[in-house]
Amino acid sequence: MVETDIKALNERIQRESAFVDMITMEMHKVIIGQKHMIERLLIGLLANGHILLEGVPGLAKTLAIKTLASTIEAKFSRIQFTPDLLPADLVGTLVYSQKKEEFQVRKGPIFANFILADEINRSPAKVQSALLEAMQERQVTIGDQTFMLPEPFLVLATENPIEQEGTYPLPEAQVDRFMLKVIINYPDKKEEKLIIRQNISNEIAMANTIIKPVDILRARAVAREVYLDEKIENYITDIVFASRFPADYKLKKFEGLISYGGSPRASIYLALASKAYAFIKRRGYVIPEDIRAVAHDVMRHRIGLTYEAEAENITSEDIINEILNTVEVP
Amino acid sequence: MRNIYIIGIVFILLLGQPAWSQNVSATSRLDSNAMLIGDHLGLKLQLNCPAGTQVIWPSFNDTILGKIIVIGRSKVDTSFSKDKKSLTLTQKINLTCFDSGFYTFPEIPFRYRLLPDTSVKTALTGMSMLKVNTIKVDTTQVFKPIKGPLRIPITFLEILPYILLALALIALVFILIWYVNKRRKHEPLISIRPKVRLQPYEKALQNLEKLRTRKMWQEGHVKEYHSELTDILRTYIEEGFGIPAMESTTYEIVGKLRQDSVFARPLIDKVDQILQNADMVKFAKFTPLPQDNENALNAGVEFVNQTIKPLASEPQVETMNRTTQKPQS
Repeated sequence: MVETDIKALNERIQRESAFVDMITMEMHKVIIGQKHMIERLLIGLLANGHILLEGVPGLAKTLAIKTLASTIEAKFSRIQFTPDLLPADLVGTLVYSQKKEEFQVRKGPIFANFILADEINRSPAKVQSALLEAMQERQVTIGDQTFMLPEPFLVLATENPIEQEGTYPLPEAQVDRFMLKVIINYPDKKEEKLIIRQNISNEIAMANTIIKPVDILRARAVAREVYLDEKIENYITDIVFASRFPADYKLKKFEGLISYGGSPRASIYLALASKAYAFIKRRGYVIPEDIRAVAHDVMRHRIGLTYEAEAENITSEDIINEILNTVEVP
Repeated sequence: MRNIYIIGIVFILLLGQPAWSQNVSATSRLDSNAMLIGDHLGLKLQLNCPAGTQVIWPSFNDTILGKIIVIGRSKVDTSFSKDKKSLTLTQKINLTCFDSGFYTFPEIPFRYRLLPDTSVKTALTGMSMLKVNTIKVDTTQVFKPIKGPLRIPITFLEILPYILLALALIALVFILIWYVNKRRKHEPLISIRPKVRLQPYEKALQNLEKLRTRKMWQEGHVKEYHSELTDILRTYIEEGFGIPAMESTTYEIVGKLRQDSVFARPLIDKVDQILQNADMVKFAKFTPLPQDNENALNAGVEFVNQTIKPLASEPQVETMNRTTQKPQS
């Protein structure tokens, strides 16, 4: 890719990314604050990566996903994960039709463009596996028939970090399939006041549908073309390798605290998410800022901590911060 | 005198006469039939036998016949015939004698077994005659004192330890003199050549000049040129102002400079411009105009020059002093 290509790409991005501002605007009609969460939802949408949202109840996780889905003219399903949920409730099943005297496929709620898997950790492993398999393969098999899932297909799952009673924590291998794990924090005072005002008024804020799935697919194609220089590739691998071999990156203090580092998926998703982030920022190339912007959300669920780390109250956030502050920026 | 001749003839006839027993033969042979008193003489014992014969080799005491002294024995040497069927065993014995006269060596027995026959047989050597001559003394001459022991020439290895010892003593004396002089003058014992640690701005300016002379962008290495330029400036900011610039992005570096108000706003804008342009070259395949490449370096030099003031101080000199110096009065 030469300089002129990047200029042309920049122009294409300017054209194709117009909807980004519109979606953001529509979402802000309904959701006050949570800029970071909305930006990450857009990254997932553009990079074709599933998102796991974690936050205490009442932080508009579900509302944000519903609102995002409503801005796009696409099929949306909400699945409330409960302990008695079965895989068939998710993917569908074969139902006997007495009229036709044959088994007929009844597709489950997973056949939608946007899936809101609410409180994913409340269902047992078999249901989680059914969803996560669909996320990875982007296809579902019912009986002897295999069905492709529609495009775009995006799973936005939520989990609550405080109520652990009766939950089924997602295994590491399954958490790894989420491109981003976004931690949602409380709004600030100013935002909190606006939330109160909005909720006590008689006007019900609604987001308008502004784009079609095909626009998303076109934008994804452009986002994939964003130029990622070799220097940036090296920066990504340095960050991921620092999480695996901290001693090689002047982080000897983390030896014995990290049980496992970022998988190759971490590298792939860092690259894809940074491309999407550059697209949102209307840039045809990735800069180190983009990597640093998405690093926490991509890496936090991919670093395993040892008992020693937990005993010393060291979190994966601390480790990522230290890695970013130690690895040399190109 | 006549008897002496007869004995001599018999001795010669017996000398080397093998003692045959089946196909085993034993011989003993003196190097000479006569020797001077106190001289050395060799006696060679030899046994020829079939291969595989078990032999009990004759052993000698310290003296033979009470007068002839055994001063050395070689090991028994074994050699096979070409067809490997027979065996020859040989031993050389060194003798000396300090009593003049005639001596008759007796037959020496070699005991052996020819397997599978387990009976022990004996092979005898012949007898040998030896005349030990004395020195003729001229009794008309006066008595002379006893001659002292002969001197053996001294080898270099023998005197080497003395040479080394002498050298060590000389070196020790020199060190002592040198040490006393140093102490007297209150000078450090070992002074390493002062290593001047460059100030961050000096290092940056030096590296920027080096970058200019390397003519990287002129040779087409524009990306590497801008990478090195920004690395020099980031190192300068890190070392000079304590901002971790090497681990920060352009946005973070400039943000920190603005936040801390380290420099005047135009200077921060200048460094922002250099870093952002370099980012475009490094990450977006941007090719600047030749003049822009040169301008970027000039702007870098200008930035460093304009920010020297807050850092300038005396260059730090590192000196290693391993003495316990007394303060000069």
